[in-house]
Amino acid sequence: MYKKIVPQIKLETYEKEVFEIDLDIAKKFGKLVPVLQELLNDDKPLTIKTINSGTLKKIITWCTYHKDDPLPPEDDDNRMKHSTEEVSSWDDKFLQEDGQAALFDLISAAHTLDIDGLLDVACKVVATMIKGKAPEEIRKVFNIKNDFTQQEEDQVRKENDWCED
Amino acid sequence: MSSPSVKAENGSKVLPGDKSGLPWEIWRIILSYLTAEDLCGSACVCKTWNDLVMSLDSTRWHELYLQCSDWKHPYWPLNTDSEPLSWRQAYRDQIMSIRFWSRYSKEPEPGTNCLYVLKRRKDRKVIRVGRDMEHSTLKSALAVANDYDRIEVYPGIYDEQFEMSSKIPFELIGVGELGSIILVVCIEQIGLTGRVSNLVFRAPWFTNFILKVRFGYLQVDNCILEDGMVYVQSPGSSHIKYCTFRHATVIFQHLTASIIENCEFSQTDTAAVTVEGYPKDDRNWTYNSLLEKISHNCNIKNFNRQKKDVAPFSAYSASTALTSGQKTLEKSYTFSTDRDFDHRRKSICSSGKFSSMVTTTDHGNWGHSSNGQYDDTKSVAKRPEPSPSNVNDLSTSNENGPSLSNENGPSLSNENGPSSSNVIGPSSSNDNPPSPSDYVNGDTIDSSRNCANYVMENDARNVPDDDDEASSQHSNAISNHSNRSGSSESLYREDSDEFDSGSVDSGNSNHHLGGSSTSSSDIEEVSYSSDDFSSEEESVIMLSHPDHQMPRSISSISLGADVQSICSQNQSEHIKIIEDNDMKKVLDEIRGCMIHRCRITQGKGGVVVALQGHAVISHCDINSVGYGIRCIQNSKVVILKNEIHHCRTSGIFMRLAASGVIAGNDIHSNCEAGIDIRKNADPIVQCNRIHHSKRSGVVVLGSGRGQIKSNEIYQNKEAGVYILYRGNPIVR
Repeated sequence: MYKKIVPQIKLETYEKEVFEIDLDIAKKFGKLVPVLQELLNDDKPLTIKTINSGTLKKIITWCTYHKDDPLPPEDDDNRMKHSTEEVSSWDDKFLQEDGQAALFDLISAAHTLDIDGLLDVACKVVATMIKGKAPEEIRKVFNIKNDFTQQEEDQVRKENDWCED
Repeated sequence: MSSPSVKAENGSKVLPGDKSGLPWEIWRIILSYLTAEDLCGSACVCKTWNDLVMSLDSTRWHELYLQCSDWKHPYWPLNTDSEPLSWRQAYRDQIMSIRFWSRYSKEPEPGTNCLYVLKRRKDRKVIRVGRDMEHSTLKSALAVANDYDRIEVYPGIYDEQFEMSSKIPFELIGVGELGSIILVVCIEQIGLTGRVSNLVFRAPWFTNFILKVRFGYLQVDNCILEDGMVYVQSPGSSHIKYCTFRHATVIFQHLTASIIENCEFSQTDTAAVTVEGYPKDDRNWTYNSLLEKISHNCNIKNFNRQKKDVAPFSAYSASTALTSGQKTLEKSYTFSTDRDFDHRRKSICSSGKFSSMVTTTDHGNWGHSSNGQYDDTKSVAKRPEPSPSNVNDLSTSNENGPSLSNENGPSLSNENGPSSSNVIGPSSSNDNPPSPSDYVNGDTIDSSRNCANYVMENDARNVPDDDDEASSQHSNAISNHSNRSGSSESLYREDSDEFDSGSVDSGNSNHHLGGSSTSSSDIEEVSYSSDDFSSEEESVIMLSHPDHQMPRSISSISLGADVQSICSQNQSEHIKIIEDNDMKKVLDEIRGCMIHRCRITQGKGGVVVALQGHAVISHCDINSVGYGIRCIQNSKVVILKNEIHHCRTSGIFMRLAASGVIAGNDIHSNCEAGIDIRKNADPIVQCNRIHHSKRSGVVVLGSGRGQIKSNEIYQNKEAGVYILYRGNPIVR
């Protein structure tokens, strides 16, 4: 009964799995909201091939958890304050529990669906993975190949050693 | 969530630009949550990350810079609305500069001391001074301070009236908004190193000194200094940055390397900065680093390279400046013309009474107009020592007394005479029959003020057509050339009419005087840098923004127009300096003190360099002072890229065998001359823009020497280059 009252939209993932999402949750989807509203009465789902089912499930979970949060402030000043806020422990745990690959998928999806809040918080989580680490450690964490030659690396390090106190 | 990831696994994903990875903009978001330290680490990860970190320059790095609330804009107090070349670089420079004081080591080699310093810095203590703090006075805090301790002073007025002799390395910092922490003390630095920051200093009642550095190094960052003096003496040294001096001055004595950077001076009773005494050989541990900074600033190549890097910014600001400049120009044009003409007519009439009208408007390049005598002049002028007659008369010659000596005068005037056949002066050449050897003033002159010397070329300054976009310097010069001769009749007809009467007068008086006596000479020379192109390939001046030149129709009429409207922006940034060997030699040798990116305004004087002092003055704005820069007594200066304007007397004085380089400056709207060279002073004056002086552009007299090359001298009330009384410069 309840579901009939609340409008729902349908999203189809990479795996052709269709998800029904309550509109009040889908409101987190920034620029996509008007598109979704148009589709509201349509039975055909919106297909988003770049998002897999696991990621979409997580997004729905996140949006449901945060659905009562105030919308992020529009003006730049407040946005700045907002962006320096700490990541809540629930978010931190939620985002990291499936490992890095899933987190990156989530960021991509949040970017596609224009979910500002999720994108911010996920980027912060990635940033904390970088914080306080030496270049070698960063390479290890993200599995990045060092493409500097020895000479280049020495030079780059020399250019960037001024920050060490 | 075990569903397999669709995208490629492994690290390729983290490389932005890779289709399977996170897009570049997301990485930019991620990195913008990092601190400067982490960004530096990230830059060393791989090439892509390095690019990423650099791409955050105007966003994250700018933001990090702004977050440091006690930092001023990197160009403060001058062009604060322009972007620095790189915010990252600006941030880095600030950090490095702030820490510099604590980098002291006994070993001169950098690097060896790092551990030692770091270790010591780790156990630094913080001592707080303020209401409800452990110390209520600075004095009591100092009593317990150890090496490298940081003394934090909280808002309040500390009227302690004592002289603090600092023997140990110390850091004294105001915590709070600048201006809210006021110290009435005198600090004497006799220790090795120290730093004061974010404080207001006032001299105590018993002395004029605010800071005295006799030994060691004192770094002054972001302070306000009021009613007193900062005194630095060899072997001490100092780096003063982002400070405001109100009714306060700086005296540097015998220094080999010290810097005043990004400071603002106002309301001074004497010169804002005095540099005196030859650089002594005893130097302290800061010598190499500070000197390196100074030489970096003296390297012309660095400017020119910077210009290229900053191209997008400067092009933008130039275009905006141009449009606003044009608007104001047009305004001034409408109301200034009549007044100007009246003014000129008056002066012409009066000039007829006192003296001849001298209109030796050389075509700029003597080489072209040369006859046999030209070579003689050149050889005389190039002689390094003044000719015997000059030496004999050195003491008696002065600008006011009517000099009766014959040696220099007639010979020079003779040589100049024939060259006037080359004059493109719109009216004078046509209407005034060339009268060789008549460029002479009557003996009625008792001061140079009465030598009403009007050079018509001055207002008929050539300005390239807007549509005349010459591709090379050379062709540019040629097209200007033809423009001018072509336009002289049509565009300056009104001028010619005005001057006709004057020329006739002058012609008459010339004739008369020529017959009676040739007692003193009064020769003018207008040198047009753009005309020099043909022969002087190396000493070419080229504006990086030719559009800055005023449209011809306006500039030709608005002589003496409201000059402020034209000069709202420091144009010296756009002047390109072409370095030649003479100049390079001076630049390479200079050491001493540097005054960089400062504003000096509303005071008695700008900078005095005396008693064999060495100074570099670059990128400053000196205005509304009695005199801009005064160099005397064998001093050696490098004056680069400054804007010196609206001085109550001349912009730059060179006296008493002062020498050096004056290049790339925009010198304008000064009440007397732009540059005034006398008494054996011998500077290289090159690639400057000297204009709108209330009197002459460059004055060389009383045995003044120098090399005057490739300058743009225009719209000065009197002569462009004015040579009198044994002034003996090389003009090209």
